[in-house]
Amino acid sequence: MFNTSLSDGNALAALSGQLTFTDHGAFRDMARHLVASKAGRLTIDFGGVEFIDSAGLGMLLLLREEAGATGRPVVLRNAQGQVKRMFAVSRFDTLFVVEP
Amino acid sequence: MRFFKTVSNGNGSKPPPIPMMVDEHEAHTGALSERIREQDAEIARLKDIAGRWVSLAAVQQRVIETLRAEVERASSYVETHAIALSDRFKTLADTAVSQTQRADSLTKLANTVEIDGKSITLREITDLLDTALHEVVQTILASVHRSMSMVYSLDDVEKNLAMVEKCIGNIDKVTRQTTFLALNAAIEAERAGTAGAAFRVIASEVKDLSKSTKQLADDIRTHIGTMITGVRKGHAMLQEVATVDLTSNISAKDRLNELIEAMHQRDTKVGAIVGETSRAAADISGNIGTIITGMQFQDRTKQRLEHVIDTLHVLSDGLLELERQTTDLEPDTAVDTASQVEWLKMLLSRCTLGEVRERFVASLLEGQTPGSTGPEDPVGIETSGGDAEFF
Repeated sequence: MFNTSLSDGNALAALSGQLTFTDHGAFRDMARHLVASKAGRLTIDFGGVEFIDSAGLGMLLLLREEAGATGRPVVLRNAQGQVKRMFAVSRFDTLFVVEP
Repeated sequence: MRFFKTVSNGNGSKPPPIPMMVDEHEAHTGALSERIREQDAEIARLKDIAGRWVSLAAVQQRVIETLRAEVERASSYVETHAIALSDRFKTLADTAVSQTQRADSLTKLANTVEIDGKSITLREITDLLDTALHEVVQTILASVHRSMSMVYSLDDVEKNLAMVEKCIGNIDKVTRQTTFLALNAAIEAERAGTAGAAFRVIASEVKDLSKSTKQLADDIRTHIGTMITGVRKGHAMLQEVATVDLTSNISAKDRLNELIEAMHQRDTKVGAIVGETSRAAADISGNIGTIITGMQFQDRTKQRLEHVIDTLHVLSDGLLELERQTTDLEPDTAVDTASQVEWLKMLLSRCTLGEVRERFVASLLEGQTPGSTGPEDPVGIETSGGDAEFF
């Protein structure tokens, strides 16, 4: 499930549940919404996400690609448990702005 | 050197008689005789004392010589064993240093492995494993990235194909209307009779055209359906490619982190132990050096003992001179060492070391030359087995 909000200089999407291959359509729509904004930072809050698979990581890489085309960083915030370990083993801290 | 005075006048003659009255002379003679007897008794007593003194001096001189020989023996004993102990301690210090070097080598050996003749530390191995794991994950991510990009593209293709299907539906509507139009035109041509012949031909052509358009639309729909089926198959295959179970990678990463941490802790502990060992070995070497330096001061002990020996020698010579002077003054003085046996036995009873007492007996009672006979001192340090023997 995705909830998005826009504020000055920041586009925030709060995710919950799981982020897997089957969610790619909805995630793509959310990503388009974020990228279409004028925000300088695109932030995704993973506080409510309990599981992410490799396809979810691929979707984040595609979002980073699209945001990078307009020179904007993608911020991954508040990852916990399995999601946090997946980000660590993938060394996402070298690709994204990872915030606790 | 003179230690006592003689009551003799020097030549052994008696004093000249003094002239007196007869009674007085007899009385005086009696008193004089009495005095002479007393003097003779005194002289005999003094001779006895001198004899005993000379005998004691002779025994004491021998005791001193025996003591001198014993001190020389002890000095030589201390010197010999001090040198031997210094050598042993030097060997011990070298062994301590070697032990530390072996501990260092062992630590390095435990922390490295030989691969193709190259020494690689365990930390480097864990780094290599971490790098290899990272490369695997990066390869998976690159594959997933491309797969999801293709999934997005197929999604777009599917959407476009859906739009094409919708367009084909519109074509079907147009075709149906055209078919109806051709049918109505054919009916109207029949009503017109001969005049409608040309119109009948056009209506027939329109009908054929509608039929062909419908056939074409059906063919396109069939192809679109095939394409959609292909896209969905590709979608499913990409899902399999993009959905990689990274659990094993996460577990491997966790185990690797635990391994690195365990090795770090082990290195820290081993380093601390080796450091303590090195410091202990350095302390041992330092203490041994101090001991060796202290043992080198054995020379001072030897010098002091030599001084004692020299003093004993002077004392011995003094006693010999005393004996000589006494016998010169009184040639009749008898040297009776046998009378000193009890005193010597008392002296020997104070000696608690068996081999020393045996040498004293040989020298003092059996008359052997001091230092020439008697049992040797035991060797106090056993050279084999590394254990010290105590006596």
